[in-house]
Amino acid sequence: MSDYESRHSVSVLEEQYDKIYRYCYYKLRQRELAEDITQETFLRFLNQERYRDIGFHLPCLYRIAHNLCVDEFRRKKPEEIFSEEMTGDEAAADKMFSGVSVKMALAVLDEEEREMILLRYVNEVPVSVICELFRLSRFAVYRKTAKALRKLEKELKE
Amino acid sequence: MKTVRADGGKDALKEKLREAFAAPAPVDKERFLRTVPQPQMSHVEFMLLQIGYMKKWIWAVSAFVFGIALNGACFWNRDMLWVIASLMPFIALSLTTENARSAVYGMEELEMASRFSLRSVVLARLGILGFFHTLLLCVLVPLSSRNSVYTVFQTGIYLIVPYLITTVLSLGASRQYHGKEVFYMCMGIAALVSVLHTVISGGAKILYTRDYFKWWVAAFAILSAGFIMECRKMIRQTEEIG
Repeated sequence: MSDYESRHSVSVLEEQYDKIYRYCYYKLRQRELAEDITQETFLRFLNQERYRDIGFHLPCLYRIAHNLCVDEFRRKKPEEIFSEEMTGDEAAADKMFSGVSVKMALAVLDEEEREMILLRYVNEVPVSVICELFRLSRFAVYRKTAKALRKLEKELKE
Repeated sequence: MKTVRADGGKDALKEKLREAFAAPAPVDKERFLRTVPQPQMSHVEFMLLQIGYMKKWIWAVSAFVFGIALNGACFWNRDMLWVIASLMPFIALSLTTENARSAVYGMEELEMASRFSLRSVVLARLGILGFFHTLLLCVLVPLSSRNSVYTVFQTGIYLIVPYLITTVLSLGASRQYHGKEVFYMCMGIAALVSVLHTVISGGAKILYTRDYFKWWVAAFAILSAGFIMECRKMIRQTEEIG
């Protein structure tokens, strides 16, 4: 393909890299580990025939990232991952949940709601992709995200 | 403790969420993106892949017109030139609507985020349909001139001019309008050109005499230049979206 096409491909890859990295970081809370998992996700994804033919199939990309994060959790216990984070320099630099009030508000949500909020409003993943990832109907995703947002707003207003 | 208020509405809340979920900057991103192996695909493979994503009715319209031309020329033994020429705008419609499909469904932004750029996809669609319509014309011209008093060259010009008028006007309209309006505009233009052609070919036969043929050739040349210009503008527009 042409130079224009390769430049386009790299810019799309770059955008998705940031989003997958943020997702992995949210799951693992450790920069180096999150970056390793992000790169492993892309290497596996780019080797798939589906990418060669149709390009970015987001559910597939997020599914690989999710599975690799779960594998990492299984390999290392979650406490180990989080303790590594807290002892490293990253603990100070950690910007995850940086706003105290938003952090507290997010704490009232359950894990699924938090993940949905991250995917929908931070990573701007289309609803159809979230439906596929969580195996939920479009209506259920809308209902759950709206409910989570309402909870957040209520917490922030109090 | 709770210092942040959701006073700014949902947009403000979303902004706060983005800040809350922010991750430290990745350190190895540049190197990874530079060295990551990208699967390659040849131009032919890419074109063949795009054919699979094109709407079936596009092929159906061409097959329908070809069927009429074949029947008229071989079985009915009638002069089908005016019928085929009046149907040419609908073949042109298939080209313009296929190219404007992203705009019709408001998918330009999403397509720009897919692996292949919108420009490559639009160019591939144009190339495929342009090649297919050229082949179709190569078959339709001799079929239409079979029972006609006109030469093959004249028949070709009489068939191509309504096609080009529809294409140029529709490509221009698809740059100006958005959403479903593009589709309705293209449909309207195709129908208008078809009806006008039917009326003129029925009521103003003088326009198809040898004296006026030079004007048809001039119209063909101007419209061909217009078609090239419209294609260039359309490609530039897809680059701007990117």
